[in-house]
Amino acid sequence: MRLLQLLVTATMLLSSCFQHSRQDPWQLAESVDRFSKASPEEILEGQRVFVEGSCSLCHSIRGTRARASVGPDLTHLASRKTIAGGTLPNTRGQLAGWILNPQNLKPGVHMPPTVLPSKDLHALLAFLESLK
Amino acid sequence: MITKLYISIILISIFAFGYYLLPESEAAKRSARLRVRFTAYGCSSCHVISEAQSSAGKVGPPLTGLGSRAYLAGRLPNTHKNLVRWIRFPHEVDPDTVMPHMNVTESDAQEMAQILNEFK
Repeated sequence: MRLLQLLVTATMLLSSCFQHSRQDPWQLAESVDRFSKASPEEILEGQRVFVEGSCSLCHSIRGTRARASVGPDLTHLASRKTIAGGTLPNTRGQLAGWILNPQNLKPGVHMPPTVLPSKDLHALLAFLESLK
Repeated sequence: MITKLYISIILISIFAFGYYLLPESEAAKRSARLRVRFTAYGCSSCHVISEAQSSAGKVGPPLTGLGSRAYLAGRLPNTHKNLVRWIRFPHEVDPDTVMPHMNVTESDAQEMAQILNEFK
C-alpha cells in the first residue's frame, strides 16, 4: 500500500515538472505588447464608432453615452487579462476576431457578428485598448 | 488477489508514465509552437489552420497549405521575407486591410512564417 502511494505521488510530481517545461499561450500572451500607440484622434474616432454603432446597444462604458446593460460593462476592458468570459487572452488580434465573428469562437454566445469597415475596426480597437 | 491488483496498477502507471515521457515528433513540436503563438497573438480568432489543430476563426482566409500559395494578401509574392512583413505590418502592405497590427515581435514573426511555409 505504501509503495503504491509513493509511486502515484512520484508520478504526479514528475509529470507536473514536465508539464511546466511546455510552452503555454497564456504565458506568451502576457508578454505581448497590448497597448497600441494610437493617436488621440484615432481613439476619439473609435469612441464614435462604439457609441454610434451597434456596440452601444448592448454594452456600457462609463463616461460615454453607451449605457446598455445587455452585455458586460467594458469600462476597464484593457485592464482585463481575458475576453469572452475567460476563454481568450485579451490581445489585439483576439479582440478583433471576437468582435467580427464571436459565434465561431464561442458557439451559442449571445453577441452577434459585426461587419465593420477596416478603418472603423482599427479605430475601435485603439479605443478599446485605451480603456485601462 | 489484492496483491495482483496492486501489481497491475503499478505496472499500468509505469507504462502510462513512460508513454508520457516519449519524445514528441518534430512536426508535432513545431505545430505546437505555432499554436502557442497563434493563440497568444490572436491569429486563431480569424484564421483556420488545420495543421496546428486550430479551427475556430472564420473571419480571414484559412492558412492551411500556405506554403504552396503563390501570393500573400492578394499582392505579395509568397516569400519568407514578405510573410514576415505581412504578419508584422499588414497596413504597410495594404492600408485597407482589416487585419490589425498585433505588435508581433520580429523573432515570433520569423518563427511563424517559417513553420507556416512548411505546410504545403
